[in-house]
Amino acid sequence: MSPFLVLGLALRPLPPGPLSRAARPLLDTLAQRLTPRLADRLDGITGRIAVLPTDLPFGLEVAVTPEGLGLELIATDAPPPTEATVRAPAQLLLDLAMGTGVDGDGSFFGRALAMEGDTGLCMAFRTALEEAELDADDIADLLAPLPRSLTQHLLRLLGRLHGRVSRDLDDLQRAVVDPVATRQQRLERRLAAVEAELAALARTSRRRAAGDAHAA
Amino acid sequence: MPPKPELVCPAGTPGALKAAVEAGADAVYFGFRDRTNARNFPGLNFSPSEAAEAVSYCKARGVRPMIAINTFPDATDDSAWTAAVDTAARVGAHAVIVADTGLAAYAARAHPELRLHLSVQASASNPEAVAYYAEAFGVRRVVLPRVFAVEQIRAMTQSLRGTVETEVFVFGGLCVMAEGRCSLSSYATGRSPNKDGVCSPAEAVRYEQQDGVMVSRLGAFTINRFDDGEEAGYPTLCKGRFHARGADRYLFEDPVSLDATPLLPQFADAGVAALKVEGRQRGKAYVAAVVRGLRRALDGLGGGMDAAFLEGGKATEGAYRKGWR
Repeated sequence: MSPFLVLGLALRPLPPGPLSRAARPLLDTLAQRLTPRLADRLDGITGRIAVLPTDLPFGLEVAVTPEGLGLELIATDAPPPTEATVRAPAQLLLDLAMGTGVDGDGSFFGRALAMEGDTGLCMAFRTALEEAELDADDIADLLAPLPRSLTQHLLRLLGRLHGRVSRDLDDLQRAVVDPVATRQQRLERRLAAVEAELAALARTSRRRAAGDAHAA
Repeated sequence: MPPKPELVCPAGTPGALKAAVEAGADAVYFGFRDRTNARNFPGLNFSPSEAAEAVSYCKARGVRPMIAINTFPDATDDSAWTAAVDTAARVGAHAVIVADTGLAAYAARAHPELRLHLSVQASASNPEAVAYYAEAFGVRRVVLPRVFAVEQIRAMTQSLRGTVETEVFVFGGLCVMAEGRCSLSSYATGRSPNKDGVCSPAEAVRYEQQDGVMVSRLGAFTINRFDDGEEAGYPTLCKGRFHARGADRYLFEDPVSLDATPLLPQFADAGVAALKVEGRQRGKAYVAAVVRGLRRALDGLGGGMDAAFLEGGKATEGAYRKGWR
């Protein structure tokens, strides 16, 4: 269970159309900021990638064009057709984008991240994004009308809140799962004892049958 | 006691190069953004200006920068490859890693001060072959193919002592083919690691998700199906799973990573000069974690490798242990 899962449940009722329109100015700003930092590694590459968090109702369509990057909010359960699709939990996607030590290939091998479509496009975008070294300041700068110090303070608060919510969800998960796990372990011990008893009875029965055959 | 081998680490980008250096690499190797090296993937590799900056960065930190120019030039036009050698010399690379005899001859003639290493792509598999490269072109180090047992590496290293150093792969993707001569990729896609710098080029790879099952295709071939939750591997034909003799099986090799960390003391004792990590196509997280882990192992500090960085989630010591395959 993750905070993004809970966030996803909360966001699900929101209408995608108005939300996409509301997010457009922010995403256009981000795309303009990222274009020069990614352009060099994306030279000659074109296509669209649907980046779909598996635990949120909204994801991003990333358009790589000769003119630069384009970003648009899309619904994860009804994404537009694109040349490639990447699906993973939101936290993993964020970790990969921010370069926090998670390995993209390893996540793919381990099936935490799924990719379909144009592999070359995804490879090039992943490499370019990693080299661009996104960090919290990039996200903070999105909110340009607000002072940078204020948005950084808000992000730090959100970070602590994320940590606290994650711990609370872990506690909740343990409270729900632990009693079931305990009962399962008890049942497994009883099953093992019954199986051992059956095996002993089978051995005794075979010895008796062998003894009877010998006596006869 | 033989000197500690140097740790030679991959860098697909300037960011990965810095990650390798910060994690403790003794040397790094990288390539240019074209067909002249065997990791010619979209978005990867260095421009000439990035190469110059990378060389300066490395040298300021006592790290040796090497440039891989290890594919085979076109018969009618080798200009891209000779230009790559010229650029490597101009930016001050410590060494170039080459496979082609013609290119080795060019480098030796045009830039006699430039150190020559023989790529694994040359598949030099015996002391006589290596001695030829040393005598003809002044090769100083050979990267050994990943098909020898440790005892064979010891024997090779000892027979070449004083003339050519040996370098062995210890971690990363495992190729067990005759490197530089494998035709599987060109058979399936028309492009090869030897001429185009791509094994299983990305544009020919397609993944499809079918109810939790991941199907991987290379060109016109379906090469694997991974069940829901099953660890996956790279989409190369040699790691494909096929129906043969009544069962679905891996015919050439399993999708696993090489991890010869337990053998580092034996390689050092054998006099191997350098230990190489494969993975120029991998991200910074892989480079940092793998280099850090190997650095600790080399320095006698113990530790192991996180399975999260292993292809298929599994590792092998490959042909280094005779019992493999």
